[in-house]
Amino acid sequence: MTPLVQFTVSGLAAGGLYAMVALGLALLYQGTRVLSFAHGAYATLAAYVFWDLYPAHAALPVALPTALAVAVAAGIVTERLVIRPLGPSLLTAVVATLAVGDMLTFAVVKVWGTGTRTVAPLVTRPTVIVGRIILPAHRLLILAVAAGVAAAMSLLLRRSRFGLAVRAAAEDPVALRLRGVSPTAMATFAWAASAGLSGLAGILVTPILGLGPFVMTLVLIRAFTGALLGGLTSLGGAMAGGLLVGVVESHLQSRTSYPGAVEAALFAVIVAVLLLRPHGLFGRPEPVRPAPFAGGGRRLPRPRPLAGLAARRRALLGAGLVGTATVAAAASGEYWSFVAAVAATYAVVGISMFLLSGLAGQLSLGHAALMGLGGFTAALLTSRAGWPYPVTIPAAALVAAVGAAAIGVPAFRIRGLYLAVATLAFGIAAERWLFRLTAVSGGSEGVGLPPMSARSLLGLSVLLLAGAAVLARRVAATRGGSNLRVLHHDETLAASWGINTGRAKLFAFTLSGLLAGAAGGVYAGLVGHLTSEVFSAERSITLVAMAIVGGLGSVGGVVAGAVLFSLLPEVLHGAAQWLTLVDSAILLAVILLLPGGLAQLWTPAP
Amino acid sequence: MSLEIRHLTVRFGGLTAVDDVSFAVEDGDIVGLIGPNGAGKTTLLNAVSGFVAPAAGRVIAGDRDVTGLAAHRRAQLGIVRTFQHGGLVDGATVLQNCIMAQQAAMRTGPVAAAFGWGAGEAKALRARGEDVLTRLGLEAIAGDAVGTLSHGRRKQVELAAAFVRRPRLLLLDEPSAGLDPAETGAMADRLTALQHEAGCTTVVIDHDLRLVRRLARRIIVLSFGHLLADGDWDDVVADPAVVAAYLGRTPGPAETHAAPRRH
Repeated sequence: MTPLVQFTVSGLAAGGLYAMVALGLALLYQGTRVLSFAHGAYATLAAYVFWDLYPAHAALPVALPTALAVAVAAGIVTERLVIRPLGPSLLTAVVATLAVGDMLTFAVVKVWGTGTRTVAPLVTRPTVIVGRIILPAHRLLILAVAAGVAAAMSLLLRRSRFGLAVRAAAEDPVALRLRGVSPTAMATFAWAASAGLSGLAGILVTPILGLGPFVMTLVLIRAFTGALLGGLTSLGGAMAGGLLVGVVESHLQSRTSYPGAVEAALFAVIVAVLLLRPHGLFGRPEPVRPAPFAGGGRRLPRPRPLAGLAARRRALLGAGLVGTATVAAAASGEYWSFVAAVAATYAVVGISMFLLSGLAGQLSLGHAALMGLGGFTAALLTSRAGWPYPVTIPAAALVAAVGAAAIGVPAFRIRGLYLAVATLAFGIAAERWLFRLTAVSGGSEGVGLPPMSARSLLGLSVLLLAGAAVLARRVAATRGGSNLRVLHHDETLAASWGINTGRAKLFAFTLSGLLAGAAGGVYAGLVGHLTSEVFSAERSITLVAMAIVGGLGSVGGVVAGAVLFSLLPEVLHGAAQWLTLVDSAILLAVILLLPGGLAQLWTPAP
Repeated sequence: MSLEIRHLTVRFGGLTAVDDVSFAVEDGDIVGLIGPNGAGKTTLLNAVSGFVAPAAGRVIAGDRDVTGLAAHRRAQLGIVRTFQHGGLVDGATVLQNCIMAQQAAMRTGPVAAAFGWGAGEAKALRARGEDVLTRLGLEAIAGDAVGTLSHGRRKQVELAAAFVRRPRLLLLDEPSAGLDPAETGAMADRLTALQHEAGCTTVVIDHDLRLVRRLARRIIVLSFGHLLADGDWDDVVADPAVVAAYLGRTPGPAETHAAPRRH
């Protein structure tokens, strides 16, 4: 009994932090319909500023407002410079916040370094002991602050004009605008308040988790899980979800030291809850919003130098370029063969995202895990079962297709942003649990493959790329592709035209998984030694960035994005530390200036 | 395809949008469905086409009970509906929309189609699309993106996208919304011609009562989810309960059961 209570109480303290961040995320979602991944970076920023000032340079009454002001300012600047110019484009905004978060984290690393340090708790006494239950003072403080925040927020939302506006916006954004409430002012308020809440949570979590640039990722993901469980459309629900995640995490950690057990369990919980209640435990149903990848609201001159060429000519030109580059790379030796093979492999993953996101409009934030399913299949079949390596590639594709279909089935009910976060949870569970199972990767030691020449792998990857490109173009031009296009535009319309939307989604997921798995199999051969980190959740984000930069709307676009992102490390040779900044800067620039990606440069206007 | 609605009730939380409504439409007949805003007209169409699940009652199309059937399955049976908003894919051309709208009827599956099977079938869909567009006088805009069309044109294209699918039961939700009187007149001409040719059972909702009168002899009136009147145009407009529902007069004691007021 006592341990049960003990773990529940300490789980509630962690949950209180998640609840604060989740509250901010839900507030932001209600006010603006944006799901933000930048809030982890706001928390990091506030934590560094606070723990730099306090206790050495400034007292609490100075340090706390300063740190919170920095977080709030970061939120407001994000809204003003990135989100507002984007206009109403749901999934693109999510990806933009990922880029903002990466850039801020990069800035933190530049200023404070990558090291992690510990800090003393804000309060050390009194530690309350009730019977045999120990309640550390810092955790009590967190609970008190979370309760205070909940009370203050509840008061603010009920009494203030902005609070009422935010609540009303959740009901009906158009009616709100008609009554003269400025949506921009409300967006600013939502970004400021949610960034402040994240900052506060960041400051409070530091004595427990330590001060480091990547510490908050975990907090943000837990908060996301909580907000989704509770319901993004319910502020109280999001907080309750955050508390629940904290308690579940605490109990699981007390029972098992198995790596990734918490991630796997939370993924299972989130899928189960969303299947039963697609809008979270306390959330209410929302109208389905069509065209999730709609371009930005800003109209800029769009240079289209090759737009005059017929589509067939452009495709031939592209194929010629890829062919020439392949021959050139093969001729210049193993090093460039390796670079080109990696680029071709990523291009296949890009085509897999073109099918899923570009055609079907489903955002996957767990594509690296699908690659991983293929990669580990190829590696295990080669190294343990003794299969010849090339034969393992179709097997890799099949295993990943089955995995993708398994995500495609919940997609019948879970939609849009909810599905995106569920795929992220899948990616994290795969990285931290599945790919670390002893049977899969031997835990941390990984699986090795026999060494192969980069040149032969280049041949294999380019062959795969050619097949994938032809397949994707055929699908896009025929019945399957146009069903997906209708689905992407409007699910209700698709059903009214007799399209089985569930089956169409399953088709997109399975085909996408097939290509991602085959690419993962080739990638395994290139890397030569697989660990779970090879297919990390961060890699999934890079894959999305790559596809968006190139342009999700066409095969040529995603291939161009893959080539660009594979060549960047070569161009930035010697300045590798700048790579994340350059990646995110390119992503943001493209999202804001070329809503159709690089492909917009050579495709005709729609 | 005949349509029969038996004791249909649809609830949204505490609100009963359609309350115990029953009526039947013979195969090939045209019925006008009218009523004040919020009467439950669109909800009724949604229940017939499968986009909302009724709390009680049955929907029978032809000789088949379709109450539990998914929306896309009903569409495949020939139940075709139009929408007040949307209803077309903006990024695609007019002809592409008319092809996409028919694709669910293809026998060739998506994978087979990608590998080149069913080319003849695809060609037939295209020919059908071109044919309907020509008959509606829309062949000149076949290659235009739907997003660039005027509202009036768009409504005509929606009609084309409905008729390419050879409807057996056609549900039209405000075909004249946003059209000026001249455009509405032209719309009525086209609708009458196409409907006559297709011979499909039709339920049409519209706020333009002249349009409804031109299309349909029989009128069904809904008010606050109740079926208020069902009969010939002249009888219905003379019904005091209908007048009360439209003009807001407090109904007399004899009518209160039919038109409960929500105050």
